[in-house]
Amino acid sequence: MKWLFAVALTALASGQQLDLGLLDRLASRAKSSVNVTLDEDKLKFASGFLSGDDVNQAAAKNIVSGLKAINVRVFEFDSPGQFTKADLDAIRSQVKGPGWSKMVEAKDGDEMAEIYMFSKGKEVGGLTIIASEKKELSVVNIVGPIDLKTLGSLGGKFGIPKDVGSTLPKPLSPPKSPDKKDD
Amino acid sequence: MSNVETPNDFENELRRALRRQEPPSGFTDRVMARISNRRPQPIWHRQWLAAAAAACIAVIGSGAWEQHRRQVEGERAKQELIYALTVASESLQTTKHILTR
Repeated sequence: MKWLFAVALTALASGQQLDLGLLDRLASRAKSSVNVTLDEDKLKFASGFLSGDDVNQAAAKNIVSGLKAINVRVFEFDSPGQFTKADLDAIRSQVKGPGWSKMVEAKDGDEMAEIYMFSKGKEVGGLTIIASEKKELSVVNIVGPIDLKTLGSLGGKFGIPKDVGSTLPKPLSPPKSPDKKDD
Repeated sequence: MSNVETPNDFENELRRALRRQEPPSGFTDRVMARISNRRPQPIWHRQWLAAAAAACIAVIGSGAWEQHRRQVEGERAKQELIYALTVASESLQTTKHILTR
């Protein structure tokens, strides 16, 4: 009986975890790309280096506690049309499984944003955000209990403006990653 | 008869006691012979000490290096985490901005 429960849990967890690797082929076309993949162990490890005394880091620590994974892909292109609907559909098809529901779909000109939530009963078990504009694409997949209000509360911290303008995420100091490519 | 020593007697006693005396004959030879007969420290003993010192240095050094490596990895993981949360939060706010436009 226990093994059945474990299998069910694993299946549930894997349902929340998306395969963002399908987007990695875009990196060769991108002016710059960032790939951040943090599993539960790495999240705990990284969280241990966040200071509880610093207000910003304490907020981040609070958000991260209990999370199972965070996966991020950010691509910046030189010209428009470097990614297609098919590229995004590869992600969208993964959030059509049981437990997933589309919360928000917003479009304005070339800008587009979609938010998908994974729920298990009344509990939120994950979140996926797809945001794009002409020459930029960001996909975030968070696995574990997370709520939008807490995540949004990071506005004003780590250099994130409280009210972002019309541009997509351009963090001030992206981490040096072996997957990062700058031409 | 009196047993009381006068200062002169005491000085004479002292002079006698401290007078220069030649060592017995062959004294130097016997000392030199003993020194040359003394066994040197075995070479393995010195090697063992050197190996132990090297091992101590290696253990302390690798421990310090491991700690440094962990610190660097931790800081890097922390930056990645902050970056990921930043992207997530900004994407969220971009969505909000599109909706409220």
